[in-house]
Amino acid sequence: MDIRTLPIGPMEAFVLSRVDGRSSTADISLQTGLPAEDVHAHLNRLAALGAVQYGEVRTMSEPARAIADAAKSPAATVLESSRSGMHPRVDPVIREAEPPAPVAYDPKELDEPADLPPERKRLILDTFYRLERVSHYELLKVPRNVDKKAVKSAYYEVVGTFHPDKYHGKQLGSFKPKLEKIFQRLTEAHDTLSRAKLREEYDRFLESQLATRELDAAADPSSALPEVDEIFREMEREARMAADAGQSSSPPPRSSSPPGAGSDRPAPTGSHPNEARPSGAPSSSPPVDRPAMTADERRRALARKLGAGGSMPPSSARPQEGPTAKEAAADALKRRYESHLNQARVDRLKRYMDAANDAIKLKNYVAATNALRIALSLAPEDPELQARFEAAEKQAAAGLADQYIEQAKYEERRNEFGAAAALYERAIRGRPSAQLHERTAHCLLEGRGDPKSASEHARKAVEMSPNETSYRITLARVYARAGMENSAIGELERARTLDPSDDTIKDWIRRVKRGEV
Amino acid sequence: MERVIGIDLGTTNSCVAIMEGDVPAVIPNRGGYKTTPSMVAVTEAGKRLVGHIAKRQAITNAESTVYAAKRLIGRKWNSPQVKNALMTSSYTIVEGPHDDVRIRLRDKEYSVPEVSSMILQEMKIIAEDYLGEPVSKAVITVPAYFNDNQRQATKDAGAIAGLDVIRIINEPTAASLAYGFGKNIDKTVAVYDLGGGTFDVSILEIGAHGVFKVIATTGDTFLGGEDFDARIIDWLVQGFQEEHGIDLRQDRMALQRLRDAAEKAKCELSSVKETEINLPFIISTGRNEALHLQRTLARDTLERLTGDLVDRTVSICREALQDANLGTDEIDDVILVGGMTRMPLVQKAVQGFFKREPNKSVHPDEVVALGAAIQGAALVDDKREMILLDVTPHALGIMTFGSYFEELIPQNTTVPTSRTKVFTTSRDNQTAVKILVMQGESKKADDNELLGEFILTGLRRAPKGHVEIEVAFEINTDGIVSVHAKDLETGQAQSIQVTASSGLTQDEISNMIESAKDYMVERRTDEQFEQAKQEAETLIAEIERMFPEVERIVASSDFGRDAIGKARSVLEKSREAIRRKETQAVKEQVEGLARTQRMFKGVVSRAQ
Repeated sequence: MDIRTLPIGPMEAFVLSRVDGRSSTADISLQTGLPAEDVHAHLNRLAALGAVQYGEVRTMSEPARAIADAAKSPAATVLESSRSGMHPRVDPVIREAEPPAPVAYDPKELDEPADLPPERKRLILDTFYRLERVSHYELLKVPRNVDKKAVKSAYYEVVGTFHPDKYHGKQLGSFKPKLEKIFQRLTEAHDTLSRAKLREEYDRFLESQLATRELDAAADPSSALPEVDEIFREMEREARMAADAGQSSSPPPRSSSPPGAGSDRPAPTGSHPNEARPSGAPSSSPPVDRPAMTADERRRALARKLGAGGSMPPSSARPQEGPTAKEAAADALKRRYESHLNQARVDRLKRYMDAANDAIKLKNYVAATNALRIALSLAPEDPELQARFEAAEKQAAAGLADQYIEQAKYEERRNEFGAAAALYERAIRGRPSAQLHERTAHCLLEGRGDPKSASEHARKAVEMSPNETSYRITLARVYARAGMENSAIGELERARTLDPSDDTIKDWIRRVKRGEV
Repeated sequence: MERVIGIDLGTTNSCVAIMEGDVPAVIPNRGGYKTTPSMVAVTEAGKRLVGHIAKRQAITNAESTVYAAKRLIGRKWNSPQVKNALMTSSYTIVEGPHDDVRIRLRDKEYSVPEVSSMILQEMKIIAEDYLGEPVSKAVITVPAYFNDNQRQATKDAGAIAGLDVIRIINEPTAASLAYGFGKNIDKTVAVYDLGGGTFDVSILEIGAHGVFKVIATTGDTFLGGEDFDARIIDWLVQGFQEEHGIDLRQDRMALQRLRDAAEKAKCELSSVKETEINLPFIISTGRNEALHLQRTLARDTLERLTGDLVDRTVSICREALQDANLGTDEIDDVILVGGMTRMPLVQKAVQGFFKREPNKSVHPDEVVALGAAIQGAALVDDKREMILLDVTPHALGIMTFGSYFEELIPQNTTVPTSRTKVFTTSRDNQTAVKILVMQGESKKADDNELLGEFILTGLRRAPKGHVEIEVAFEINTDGIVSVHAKDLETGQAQSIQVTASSGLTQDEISNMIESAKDYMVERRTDEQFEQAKQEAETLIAEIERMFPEVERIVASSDFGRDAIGKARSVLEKSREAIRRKETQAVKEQVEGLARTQRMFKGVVSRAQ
């Protein structure tokens, strides 16, 4: 790849010149004197162009990789997202359930003394830290259409490795409970997939999860939308190109001029990954989280750059600088850049709003939510947009309520009450009902969740179905848990009036009175 | 690598096996038998007898001979099973200090694990004699349906016997190991295990890489050969009562004779159509008149008497298949384990239910010990490709208010397994939380087995609901339950007080281990004495036989008279040493006796 053909500016070239395959983002930031955030942005763009690749954190062993079954490298992820074109992608793109990338852990865990060879330790840790994120199919490395016999073979193949008996009499330290957890999960996978009824339930769960995945990502403000990152990169690129076009002979915008820029230094390319890698992220953070900024941070960064959507004068963010000609030119370039950037933002905002309106017309509320979420990240302080986003999300959730209920029930059966409560809450957002409120309260109670939220849900359930005694019992339990015995007894007495023959109510009254809840 | 023995600690018979290279083999006892009766007795002289020797004297020493101790192990005094044993046992069962059971033999009370440890010790000695080296590690089998208390008590028995019990495994599972080990098969099998006192059914999958995975197990710990015997005894007692108006149950010796005869008749009826039960002088009337018992028992009669017991086993098989979610057509093989499976009615019932001829390739009395030996070898040698995945036969849970049972780990969950639950305080400033851990299948806590009370102490004083403790319930590969607690706020591990509701305390076990060691020393000395005594007595008899002749030959010489005097003194000293049971002295006298015998022989041969 010829670096001169790349559509990059001097800043990217400068950063590129500092990429040596070893330095991390932080190292480069230190060498160039640029803020880490900017280095990140430049590197992302370079990565998008295929000029650099992010290195992996080397904690993944070969066997684990085999289990992970071709987990995509972070570089590949970056490249994929760069393919999204100029048109906003708002349709719910259901990505195939891709095997989650390796999870990093503190490599010090490998140093714990135990009667185990290092590769076995690594295998145990790699597998253990992935347990929460892989499906039963991925765990056993079998395809979705696998038959019962193949499930068994796959299980027999690996179960010996993770059974504590294989290490009888050996000192295993903290590896022992990890082995047992892995063994338990492998067995759960086997038992679920080898029994038709359980497997059917599980498949429904996975499918409903797939169906709600897009909305989950769009509606969850803490999750980063991959599109948002890309949009910002595009906007910055456009603005920079437009600004550069306006003053082609301008000096570089920053005082430290990039010595490597424009030279014939061979560009590191994807074909020499080892040389090219700025082995980026610090080892303690997972590579998949590499675009370390959340959407929220992004938004704030943008707000800073744009003066929070125009509410602040653009110059206020600028440091006071001396009135030299060079600086004045840089200043002008920067102003031009920012104005272009703002224009790009307004353009895109409109585009996503239009896309959202189109999606709503087509009753595709998930797509609308997605588009509005992106729009919201372009105009974070717009209350009207916020309201529209919430309305769309509610509509989308209503359409997916059945899927959420399905998932919630599944989690509840597995005694994963925290997860179940969260899913019931989602379902409520779309389709509120007394029963769902009661289930949420029950799960919060069982999973020792937030008592305030539990009591709100329980009260709501009773409000909506005042004649249902079991809802009142749940509310009473919530009260009792919060130490409000009198309220609990009152609720139970009301339940008893409704159904004097129910012995469990009497039991609960006795129980609450004795303080045994 | 230390060798591990596998012990099948049975209700009526026990068996020990070891891995010889890649082949498991049963170790015969000194009598050449492959199984040893699970009987223990204490003689009038305070001597302890185990195995065949205990069985032989059982009739004359019925009150101090223990059989079927396995039925009592890990049971609580108040359990219906103990109440039942109280009615039918010829030995004395008394209440122990922890709501447990003690057995009175002569003037001493023994815990049940202690009695079982005597049998285990015997099996250990059988193995040591055979191998010519000390043995300390063992795998012991228990019925699959044993609960935690019974498993724990069995492990305690092993410890008292001086054994490091590296694993407790389930009998039907062990049988499947012996059946499928090293065969590289892919099959779903049912194990029908009707032993002396317990009945188990397990459904397993045997697959590649030496994986043996139990899918479901169920059973009845109070259904076995003894119940069949009891039906025959009832029949005999009732007949005798009708004929003579005398209840034979009132006489312990008569009861023991009936028990022997019933067992013998039952076994015979597996091969013949009818058998004679002959017990002369079974009891004497008030007028010192002896009465005899003589009856003919036909196979048909036996089948009529015990048909409901066999039906019960069949319905338990049905339950097991349901739990395994399988139909009879999905079972590739049925393995029969336990002496009771020789009964034609049992075989017929099994064949009828599973719709296939049961597998005859394994020996029903030995297969369990063989499987235990295989598991033992696989545990200490990680190069052997075999992995056993067993399940917990009972659900584990806690008692909640209103005596309800809250299930935490369901029945037939593959072990090891664990489940955590968060507990909070329910009163202000509460510093301790009590948790009742139970095992069983009933929704009502009272119907389930209480394993123990776990008291979490030293909690922070705070308003109610503010202290959260995470409690982890675990079932390990032995099927034994343990509980750990962690204070979620501080992350500190909580001290857990375990109040054993039955069984033995650690101190008691330590004391029993000590006295068992004493017994071992005593036993070894006894053996040496017996050996020396036997040698001495043979020589004494030989010398005495020659004595008159030698006396006649040498009577004339002074030297001869001197020699005769010396010989007399040697004989006297030897007898004295034997009388005093002084092993060392007897050994010394044996040398003198041997010299005398040689001298006597010389005299006699010269004179001829």
